[in-house]
Amino acid sequence: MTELLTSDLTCLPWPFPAGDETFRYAVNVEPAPRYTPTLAGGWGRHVVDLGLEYVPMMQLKREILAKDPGRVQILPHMIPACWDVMLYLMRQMADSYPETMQLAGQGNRYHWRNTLLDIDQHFEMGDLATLPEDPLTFIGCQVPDDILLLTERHDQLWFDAAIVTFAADWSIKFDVGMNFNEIHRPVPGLTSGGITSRAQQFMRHLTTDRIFRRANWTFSAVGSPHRDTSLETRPEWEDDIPNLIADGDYGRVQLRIELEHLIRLPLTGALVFNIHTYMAPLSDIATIPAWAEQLADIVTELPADIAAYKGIDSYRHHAARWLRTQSSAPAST
Amino acid sequence: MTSIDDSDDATAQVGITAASMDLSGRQYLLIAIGDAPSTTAKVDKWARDLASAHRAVALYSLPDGAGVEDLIDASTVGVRIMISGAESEVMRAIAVARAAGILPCELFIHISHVDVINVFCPHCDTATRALARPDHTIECSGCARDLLVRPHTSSHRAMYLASVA
Repeated sequence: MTELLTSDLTCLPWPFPAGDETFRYAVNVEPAPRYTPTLAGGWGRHVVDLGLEYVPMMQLKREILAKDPGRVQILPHMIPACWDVMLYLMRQMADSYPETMQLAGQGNRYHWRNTLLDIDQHFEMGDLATLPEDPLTFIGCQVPDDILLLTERHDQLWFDAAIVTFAADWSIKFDVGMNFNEIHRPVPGLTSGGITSRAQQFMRHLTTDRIFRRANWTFSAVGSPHRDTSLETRPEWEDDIPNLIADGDYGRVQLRIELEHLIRLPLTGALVFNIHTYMAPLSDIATIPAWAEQLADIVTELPADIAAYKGIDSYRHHAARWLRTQSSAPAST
Repeated sequence: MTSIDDSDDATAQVGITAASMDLSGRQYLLIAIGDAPSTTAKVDKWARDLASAHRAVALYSLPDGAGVEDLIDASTVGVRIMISGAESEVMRAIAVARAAGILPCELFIHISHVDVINVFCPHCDTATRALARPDHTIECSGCARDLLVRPHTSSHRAMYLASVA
């Protein structure tokens, strides 16, 4: 299976505001796109960021789907929203990368070219016979993001379609069809603290003319750039962190940052929750002392229930100590 | 009186079923799944309360949750559905009702008791019927792995989640 090897350090959406030494779940949204420089580089110029290894990443997605087609889930009423998100993301990419991606069209007939993947496709909106596969899979394998689609019914949001190959220890097959509150029931304090309802309110008030983004973080469940840490494949990766802890090899712990874009689709009114997963090992974070120190502070202070939910409670203090030691060591090492 | 009975069941807390049953329905289908005394006692109480509120009531007894579909197919706008029974069958009934387009406010449930549960294995995509509760370990009927049952449930699949620990 394809493995992505390049660390995302230079384009990492650093999720912690300068000066913050603690972390709690919040509806931390901001308008997108907006280029945001960081101590290591910058991020956020485009809604769809192709990333540092675009072609291998698209290859990896195809491999994961070939092995487990169930990573695409589309409830029958969601097909129109799948067309909608496909066209929307094509427009985004054509705007962002006109040299390599173009969308031309009139009425319902379009011509899409993605020269990076050698894709040249004429299609008619709504006619499944004009695409090689369903529209969600077709576009999902041309963007690094996992794509989640939500619809509104009865004053609630329902998670009724998605293509997810890079889940952090959750299962799209199990979660599809749930409503917003039901999905988030296992997250400590999220519903009782009112965050679930505020997040849902925010999404329900999204309009088609403004996109928002939010960064979320954890440590990856695997101490390598391996991306498929879904609940489905847990038997394959569950021994990795225990081995890492036994070796004291905290430099290979991956800071995993999910950059989420929240979009109201123009044709169907369905909501998009796109997740682009960025990863960088702590050995890279340690090269930016201000980041290493801030992350160590936050990880150390994290309440036990949040740390347990993130799956990092058993080793977070060791990881924080490692970060502090490394970032204060002479730069020559 | 504007409603009968309140529910603190997990599905009511997350808005999948009604937190209380309103009295604005045109007809109330009261459904007992199975014949456990705690199941039928609840349905009888609903029937008495609705009768004293002068509401139209139809009583049904079903062997399992899947049978709810036929009742929904034959119903019309304004129907309210109240279901009592064992947890696994009530969960099945909720999934069937949802798929048929019943809204959360139209569906009220009471879990009278818990016996077997249906458990979803994400590793092999198989359901296992087991006498278990969250935090118990069961053997998957598909891949034979030991699975730790989690408290997370899906009203779409009518199953508990489990995974290797």
